[in-house]
Amino acid sequence: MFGLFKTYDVHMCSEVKGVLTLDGSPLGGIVVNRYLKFAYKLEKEDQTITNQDGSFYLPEVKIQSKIPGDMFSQESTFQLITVNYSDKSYELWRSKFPGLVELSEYKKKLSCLNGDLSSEKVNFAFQNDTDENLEFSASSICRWENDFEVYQINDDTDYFKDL
Amino acid sequence: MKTLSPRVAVQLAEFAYESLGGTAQRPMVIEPNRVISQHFAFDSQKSSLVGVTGTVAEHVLKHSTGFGFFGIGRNEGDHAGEVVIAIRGTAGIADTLTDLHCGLTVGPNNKAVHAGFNRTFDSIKPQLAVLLSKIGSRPVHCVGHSLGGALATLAASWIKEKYKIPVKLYTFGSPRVGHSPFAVQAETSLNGVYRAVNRSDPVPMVPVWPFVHAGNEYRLSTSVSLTGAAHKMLGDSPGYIKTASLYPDYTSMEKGSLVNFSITRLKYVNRHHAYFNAFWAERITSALLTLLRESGKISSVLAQGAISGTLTLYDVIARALVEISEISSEYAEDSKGLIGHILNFVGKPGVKVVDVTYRLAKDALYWMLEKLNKLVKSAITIAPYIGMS
Repeated sequence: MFGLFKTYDVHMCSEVKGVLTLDGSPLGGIVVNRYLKFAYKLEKEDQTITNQDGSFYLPEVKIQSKIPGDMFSQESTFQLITVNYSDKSYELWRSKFPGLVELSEYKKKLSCLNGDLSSEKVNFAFQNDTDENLEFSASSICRWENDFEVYQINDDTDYFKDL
Repeated sequence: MKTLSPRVAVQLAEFAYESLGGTAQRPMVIEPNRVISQHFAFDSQKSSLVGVTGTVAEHVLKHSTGFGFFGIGRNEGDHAGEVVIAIRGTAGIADTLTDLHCGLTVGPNNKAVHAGFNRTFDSIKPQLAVLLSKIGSRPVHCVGHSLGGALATLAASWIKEKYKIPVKLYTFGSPRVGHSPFAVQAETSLNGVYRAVNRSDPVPMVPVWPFVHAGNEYRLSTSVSLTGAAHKMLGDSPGYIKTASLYPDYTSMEKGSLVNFSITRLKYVNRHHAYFNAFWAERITSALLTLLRESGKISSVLAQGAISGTLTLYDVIARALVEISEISSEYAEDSKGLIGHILNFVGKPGVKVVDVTYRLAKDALYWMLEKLNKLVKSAITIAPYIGMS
């Protein structure tokens, strides 16, 4: 009943570490944008520039919010990390992060966000360690060695051609 | 037409909230997760369901974006060629849900439904009509959480009535949409109603009787202590996504009892057993209905109060309880037992019932409505109305 007055800690994104390359060579001086939106309402944006070796870093984002006290709110954070390179936008990370507390599964992925701009963006699923029924999913041009299951459901049918 | 698995249905209900996502600067990319996209295809241009501006839906749903999505069953999935319509909920529902003055209006199957929900549905209907005119006679699955569940219920019965195609309905934590005639018609005309609740979620308990649910209740979690957090899709308290994903199909879930048809008598001496939870909310409703039915008062109560809103109706019920008490000593005991249990349910065990008076019956019933509403929306209080006669 007094939930509306309480403030909650909300984790929006883990710290991000990665390396940006193009055809294998490091890309320095490129702006990396991070856009976060919690509960479809609260937006946060920040940026960093890649070093000469292509590496970049963004800190963890944690905020305080009253939104979780509302039983009708939907607590997830939309996460989008992009770079622009020669007038084209590339997505290093697009995912919907569920809940209020940092998850090690997300932390692991975001701590090695290594992307090559020549790679294709893929949809992939990764393991949920606490609930095997609920896998996590994201899309990215980055690749990971472990726990990275690419899925493709694009069939050639245009289901919407008559609509 | 195959029934959606609870896992797919709950993901679709949650996915509908992403229609809130897009802005002019950052247009939305419709990218459902693997569970959904194995079975359904979405088109980033055509799949958005957007309301007509300047309408009630725009006001209630606070959107200039969308109220949900529709998708088409993939050839290699379990629902090839079928259509799914997923409608989202909103925080704006709280006012509508707890509006005790809200009356009834004629709904999509020509039966009386909640005027507030129906107003919202009316303003998304034109968009659905455009869609339905294009899809032909494909079977339709309607899915929604919270207000989205209420709107999906209205949409399903409207589609069935107007287009005569196979329609199945899946809701999570949906409030009640209409009175018994609406519920019965929805239940019998639709090709399946899968109404899932966390039992500790208070939203499916409102609006109070004579609003009733259509279809069997599928219980995802059985803890009875009522808490607002149990209405949420995400998280683990218990979270609809988490609980629904545990079940491979609807037949493996526990089904709720048909509270409307059971007979319950509450003895005054046992009143201290009652406290504020889902179990006692059902027992008390059942005891009230038993008393109204057996004394023959139920039809006159409904005739007097049903159209004018919950508050007036419960005033009529209070008067009826006094009249029932005067019929026989047995009924007097039953009424006293009922009021005694309500007083304990609302946390006022100190109030003693000697005789069932109008004043006491009215106060007890109002306290009960107020307590449920407080939980559904902490800010609202109907306390000012208690002094009203």
